[in-house]
This record gives sequence, C-alpha cells and structure tokens, in this order.
Amino acid sequence: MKTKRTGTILCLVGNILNIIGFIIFILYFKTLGSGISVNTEMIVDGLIIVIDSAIMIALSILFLKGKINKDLMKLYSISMLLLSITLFAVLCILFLSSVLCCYMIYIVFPIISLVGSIMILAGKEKNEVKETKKDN
Amino acid sequence: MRLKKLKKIINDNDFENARLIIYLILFITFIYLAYFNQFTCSGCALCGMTRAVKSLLVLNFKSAFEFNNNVWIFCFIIPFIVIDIVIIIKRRCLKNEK
Repeated sequence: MKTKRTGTILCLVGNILNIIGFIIFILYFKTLGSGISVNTEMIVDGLIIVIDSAIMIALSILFLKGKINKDLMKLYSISMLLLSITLFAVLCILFLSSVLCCYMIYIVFPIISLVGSIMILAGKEKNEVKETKKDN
Repeated sequence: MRLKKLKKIINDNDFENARLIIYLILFITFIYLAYFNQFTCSGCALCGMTRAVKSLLVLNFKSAFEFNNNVWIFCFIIPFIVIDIVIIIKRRCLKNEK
C-alpha cells in the first residue's frame, strides 16, 4: 500500500508539473507572436496532454483521500498505467518529430508519472502483504 | 494549523521517497541533456532557455546568461534540490542510528 501511495504522489506531482509546463509553453508562444506557427497537430496533442493529466490528477487525489474501493484498485492501477503510457507516447512523438527543443525538458514529467504508475501497479495491497507473511 | 499540516505532508515518508525518485529522474535526464544530446534544429524561440540550461549544467555561466537571462531561476532551483536531498538523507541516517 505504501508503494502505491508513493507512486500516486509521483503521478500527482508529475502531472501537475506537466500542466504548469504546458501553460507556460502556451503563454510563451502567445507572447512571442508570429515567429512560430502553431499548427492543429500541436493543439490536438496539447489537448490530449492536458485532459490526460487532469484525469490522472483527479484519480490520484481520490486515491490519496481514500475514496477508491479495494475492488476498484486494480482498475485504478491499470487505468493510471494506460493514461501515463498515452501521455508518454504523445510526448515522445512530439519530441521525435517536432523541431522544438523545449520537449527535451518537457519529457521529464511523463517519465515521472510513468514510473509512478508502474509503482502503483507493482505495489501490494494490505491483504496481500498479510497473506504472504502468514505463508512464511 | 495549516503550517503544521504542511510540515506533516513534507515530512511524510512516502512524499520523501517520491521526492528522491523525482530528483533521481531529473538527474539522469539532465546528465543526458548536458552531455549526450546535441541540438539539431536551427534555433527556435524557446531554444534559448534549453540551451541556457545545458550551458548551466556544464557550468558555463557566461554563455548560459547570453542564451537566456531568466536562467537565474535554475541557479536557485539546483541548490534548493541539493539541500533537500541532504536533509532527507540526514534524516534517514539519524533514524537508522536510533
């Protein structure tokens, strides 16, 4: 359970930083004006990133407040992993295809959330830990 | 009350672990960025900051400030991270001794 909590905190921090980074990115582009062309692909990717991050933040806050049932824990961990993989994939595509170097720094946050979601999936629940102790 | 709550969250064991993992990931990424990555683009508007951070990581302060003046933010963030790591490790060592 403790690993799950650490993983959830990692996901939460990674996604909050992701959204902050995205807002700074947008503001920077708006203030710079016509120098850089923002095409539809970038806007759609940005929307996916923000929605993904928002869902992950909401889910991790629900977990930290203890509002996710034990029956739904598996669904929670799998959905977190899928969401973070999607986020990572979108940013990897942007990182590899785009000319913008800022994605080099920006790609750190999805990596943090991916590590966190792997920790959530790998973390054992309280009951499992007790059973393994009994077996020993 | 709020300060106490904030202190409790900061001193939380899971939060400390999470912070250490984040710093480790940042460290690995910055090492990659500083020493194993080369810029291939002609230079966009945001390149200034990325290139400045890269120069800062190689401890080339002059060119860092030439690329972007706002790089001083990172000059504050990096020592803050180092201090936080030292505090966490010190606390862990004291716990083990007890």
